[in-house]
Amino acid sequence: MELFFAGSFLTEFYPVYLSDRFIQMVFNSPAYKIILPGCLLFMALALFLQETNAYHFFFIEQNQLFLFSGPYIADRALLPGGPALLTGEFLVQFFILPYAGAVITAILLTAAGGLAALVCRRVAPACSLYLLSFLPVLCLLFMHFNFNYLIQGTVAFLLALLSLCFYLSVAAFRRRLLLAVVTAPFLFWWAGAVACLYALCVFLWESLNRPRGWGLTFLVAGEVAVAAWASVHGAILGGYRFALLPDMYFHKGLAAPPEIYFSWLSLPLLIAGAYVLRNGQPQKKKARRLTNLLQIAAISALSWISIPLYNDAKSIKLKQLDYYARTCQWDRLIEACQGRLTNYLYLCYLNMALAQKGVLADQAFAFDQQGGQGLFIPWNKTASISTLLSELHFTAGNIAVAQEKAFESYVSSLGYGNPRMLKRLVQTNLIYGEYPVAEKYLDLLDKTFYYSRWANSCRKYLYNDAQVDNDPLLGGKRKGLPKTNFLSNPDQLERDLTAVAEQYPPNRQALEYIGTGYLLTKNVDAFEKLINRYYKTALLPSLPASFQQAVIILYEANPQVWAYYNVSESVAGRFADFKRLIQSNRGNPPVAEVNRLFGDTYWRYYMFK
Amino acid sequence: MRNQLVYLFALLVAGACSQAPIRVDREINQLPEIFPDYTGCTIPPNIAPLNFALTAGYDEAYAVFSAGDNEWSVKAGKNQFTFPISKWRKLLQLSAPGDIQIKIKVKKEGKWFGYTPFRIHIASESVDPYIAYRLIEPGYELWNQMGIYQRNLENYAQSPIIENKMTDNNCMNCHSFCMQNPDKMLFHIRGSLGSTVLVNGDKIERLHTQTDHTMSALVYPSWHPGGRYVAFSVNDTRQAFHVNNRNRVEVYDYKSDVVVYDTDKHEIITAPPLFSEDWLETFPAFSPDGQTLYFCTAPACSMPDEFTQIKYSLCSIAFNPETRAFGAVADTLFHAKENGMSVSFPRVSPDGAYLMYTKAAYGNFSIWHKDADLHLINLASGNHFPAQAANSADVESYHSWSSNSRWVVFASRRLDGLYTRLYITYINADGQAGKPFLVPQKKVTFYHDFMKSYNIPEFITGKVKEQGYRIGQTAQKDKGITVSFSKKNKIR
Repeated sequence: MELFFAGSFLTEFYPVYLSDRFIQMVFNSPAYKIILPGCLLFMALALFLQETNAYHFFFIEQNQLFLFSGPYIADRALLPGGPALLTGEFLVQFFILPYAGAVITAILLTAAGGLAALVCRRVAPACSLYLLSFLPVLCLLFMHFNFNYLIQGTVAFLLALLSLCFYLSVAAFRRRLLLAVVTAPFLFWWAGAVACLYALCVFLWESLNRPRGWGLTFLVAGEVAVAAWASVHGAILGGYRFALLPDMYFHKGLAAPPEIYFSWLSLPLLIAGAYVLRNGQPQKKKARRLTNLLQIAAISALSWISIPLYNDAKSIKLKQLDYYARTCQWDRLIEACQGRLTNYLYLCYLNMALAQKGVLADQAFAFDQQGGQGLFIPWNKTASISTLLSELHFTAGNIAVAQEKAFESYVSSLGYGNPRMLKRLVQTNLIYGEYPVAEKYLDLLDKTFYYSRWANSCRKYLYNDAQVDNDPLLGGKRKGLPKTNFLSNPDQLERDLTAVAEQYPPNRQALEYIGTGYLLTKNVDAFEKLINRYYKTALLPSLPASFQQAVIILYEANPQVWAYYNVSESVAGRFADFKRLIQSNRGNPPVAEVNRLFGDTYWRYYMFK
Repeated sequence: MRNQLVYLFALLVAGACSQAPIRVDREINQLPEIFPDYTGCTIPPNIAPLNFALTAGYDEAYAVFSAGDNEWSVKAGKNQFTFPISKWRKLLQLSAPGDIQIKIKVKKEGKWFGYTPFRIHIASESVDPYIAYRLIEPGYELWNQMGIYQRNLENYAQSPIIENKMTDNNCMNCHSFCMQNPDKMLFHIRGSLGSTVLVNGDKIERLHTQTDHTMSALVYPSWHPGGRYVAFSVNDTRQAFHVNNRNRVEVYDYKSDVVVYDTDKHEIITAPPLFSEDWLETFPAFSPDGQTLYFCTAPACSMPDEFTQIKYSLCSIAFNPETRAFGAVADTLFHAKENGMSVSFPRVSPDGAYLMYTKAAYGNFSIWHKDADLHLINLASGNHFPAQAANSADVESYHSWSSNSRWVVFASRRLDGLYTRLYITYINADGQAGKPFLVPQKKVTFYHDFMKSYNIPEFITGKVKEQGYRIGQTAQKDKGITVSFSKKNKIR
C-alpha cells in the first residue's frame, strides 16, 4: 500500500552518526511515514493560525449558525454541494472555542496536503515532490484568511482530492473510467462545483497517459456539465459560475477574489508537474538531498512571500476588539486601544467599552479621538457594521435601533444567521415584552451546540414581566424605553438618546453619548444647551471630567460659572497650566509637550484635532 | 417482494389510522387546546390535511373523526396528529358540504380522558389550488435569500416561481396575477437589475417603468381583468422605526400617484384625480368588470412629523378600457376624515359583490399596524362591515380573493406578533367571514421554526410554470422596454 508522505524528506537528512540499520528501521516505519510529516505540517499550521488569526476564527463563527434541526439540514443536504456546506458549517460552530478554529483549519489543510502528496505519489511514485504537494495547502490557506469564504470550499476540495486518489489508484483504464463516471455525479451533489475540477483532472491525467479509449473521459466532463446545466436551468443554482467554479464557496452577494482560483489551478499543475518530473528523481543520495532541500527552501520562501499578501492582517485588530466586545472584556478592549487610532471602527469599540464602564465622558479624551463618527459609525448596510451599530445602540439604551440593526445583521450574515445578533433579538424582544418572538428565537438558539445553555438561562424571562423588570440589564433597558413614541431618525440620534436619558436617568450612557458627541464634533453651543438643561438634575447631577473641561472653554472669561458647574480645583489648575504653556509658545504651539502633559484633556482635542 | 412491501405499507398505514377501541375514563367538559386552532373553522373540500398538535402534555392521544356514519381515528405521533392525505381527501369528499366532528382522547397517568368534540365545517366551494407569496425575513432594509413561491393548497408542496439567486441577489416584490391566472403575472426587481418583469405565458418582458413624469418606477399593481392594462401606484416611500411602539416599523409616503400601464402600447396613462400634487393616491384596484378603478387617497401632509395624522379614504373613478378614458371625478366610498380611520389594500371579489380592505388608525402600510383589521363593503348596498371572525388583536392585512369569490387569503401576525403567516377565511354569500384557518403545513412546528414572513398572498387557479432561469436571464440580459408617459395625459 502506498503510504501517506511515503519517502518523506527526513530520510534524506538523517544524522550521519546514527547507524544505517536504525535509521532505515525508524524511517521506514508506517508511523513515521504517515504521522510525523503530517504532524509537523499540522503543528506548523495550527501554531501559525493561532498566533496570527485567533480572533479571525471567533469572528467568522459569528457569521454562521449551525442548527441541529431537521429542516435546516434538509434544506441544505439535497442541494449541489449541500453536504459539504453542512460539514463546513458544522465545523465552524466550534470556532467559538479557543484554539478550535486554528486546529480545525490546520487539520483540514493538513488533510489537503496529505491527499495532494498521495496524488503526487500516484503520478510519480519515485519522486519526492513536496513543493507540489504543498501548493494546494498554501492556496487554500489564502482563502481561509477571508471571512467571506465558506469552509465548504475546503471540504469540497478534500472530497475532490480523495476521489482523485481513488481514481488514480485503479490501474485498469476501464475500471478507472467507470469509477469516475460513478463518482462525478456524487461529487457534484456532495461537494458542488469542485466536480468540475475533478473532471478536468481526470481528463488531464488520461490525456497525458493516453490509454486506449481515453477520449471516453469526456463522459465524466459531460456528466458534470449536464448536472451543472440542470442545476442552473432548474433554478437550483444562481448561474454557471456557482455550478462550475469555486465562486460557489464564497459569499454569493460578492465577487470572489482571484485567489479563490489558486487552489483549483494548483491541482492540475500538481498532476502535470508530477507527470513531467516522474522520472526526474536523482539517483544519487546527495542530489536527492539537495533537491529536497531546495524544495523545502522554495516552500519556505513561497510561504514567506505570499502569506503576507493574502493574510487579512489589517482586520485582525478589529476582530480582536469585536471579540472583546462580544465577551464583555471591556478593560482588555480599552487596553488594546492605547496609542494612535486612525480607524473609526476601533474608536466606536473603544467608546462603547468606556460607556459600558461608565467612564465615557471622563476618559474619552485620554484616547486618540478622531471625531463624531468614533461614537456611531454611519451604516453601510453590511452585516459587520450592523452588528457593531446594534452593540453601540444597545449600550446607549436605544433599543429600537439596536433591535433593527441586530435584525439587519442577522438576515445579511454569510450563513444561516448571526448567533450574537439572535441573542440581541432575544434581549430586545424581552425588553419590549414581545415574548412569543423572543421564545421563537430562544428555541432556535436551543438547537445550537454552544448557545443552548444561554437560551435556557433566558427562559425564566418569558411571559414574566417581573423577572425582566428585576434583571439589572433587561430591566434597566426596559425602564429607559421612551414613554412617548416617535420615529427614530438616524440623522437625529440625540433626539432618541435624549428620550432614553430623560426616561431613565440612571442610564448615564445615553447622556454621556450625547455630550461626548457634541464635544467630539466641537459643537459647543449644543453642549452648552445640554448642560444648561440637565445640570443638577437626576440626569446630570455632576459634570464628568471632559464636561468640566468643556465648561472652561465655554466660559473661560467667567470663572464664576466654573463654580456653578462645580469645576474641580484640579481641572481648573490644569487649565491654568495648559493656558500658560500655550501662551508661552504663542504662534508655535509645543504639540509634543501638550500631548505629554495634556493628552487626556478636551482642551488638547479642541485645539489640536 | 413488491407485494410484500405493499402489504407491509398497508399494515403500517392501517396501524397508524386504525380505530382504537378506547374507553374514556372521564369526560372533560371543554374543548381541547390545539395548534393550529382549527376548531370551528370553515375549510374548502380540497385543502391539504390539517395536521395539528395538542398544546397540553399527554402520554398517548387519539383524534377520532366522525362524519355521518364514518368514523376514523388517528393516533398522535411525534407530538402531532398527522393525517394521511388520501384518507383525508376521502373524508372531506364524503362530508362536503357539512361538518366533521373531532373528538380528542388523551391518556394521562394511565387514565383516558375525553375532550368535548369540536367541529370543522367543510364548504361546498373549493379553493383555488395554489397561492403565490413572497418569502422574506420581516426585516427592515437588508435581505439574504428571498423569492416568490407557489404553494399547492391540496398538499404541502412549495416550489419557487423566482428566487433572488437568479436575479443577482436583488430584492423582488409586488407579484400580481391577472384574475388569478398563473400564466399572466408581473413582479418588480429592485437594485442593480431594477425593472418590472411581465410574464405572459412563455413571453417574458422586462420593463423600465420610471419616466420623467412619474416620481418612481411603478409600484403597487392591480391587473385590469381584460389583461391589457395594469394600474400601479408610484410612490416616494420611506421607512422609519418606532422608538417604543408595538408596530415597530412605519412605512409612509412623501408623495404618491396612481397610473395605468397599457401593456400593448407600453405607455402610462393617468388622470388628474389620480395624479394630484396636493393629494397622495395609492393602492389601485380594478373592479372585475374593468369599468371602475378603486384607490386610496389622503391629503398631503408633513411627513414624517404627522405620520399618525395621515388617513386614507377609499375612492373610485370610472375607467373606459376601450377609450382609455377616466371619469372626471372620483367617488368616495370611505371618508377617512369622517370615520377617523385609514383604508388600504382595496380588493374587489371576482363576482363584483364585495370589496375587502384593511382599516387602521392611520397611514397606508397597515401590514405593520397592530390595529389593522379586514373590512368589507357590500358594493350593491354600500354597507361597510368588519370581517369580524377573520380579525384578531394583531395585524390582518394584505388579502386576496379566490376566483370563486368564496375564499380570502390574508396575512396576519397573530401567531407571534412579528412573522406574517397566511390564513384563509370563508366569505359566505352575505359577505360574512368564517373563522379563518392557518394554511396547513405537514409539520405543526413549521411556522415556529420558520424565519421568514409570508408577503402578498395571491390565489392562483393553477401552477405557475417553473421558468426561474428564463426569468432570471431576461432580467439580467434583456435590455428591456422603456415605458413612456402618454402625451395625452392632462395633468398638473
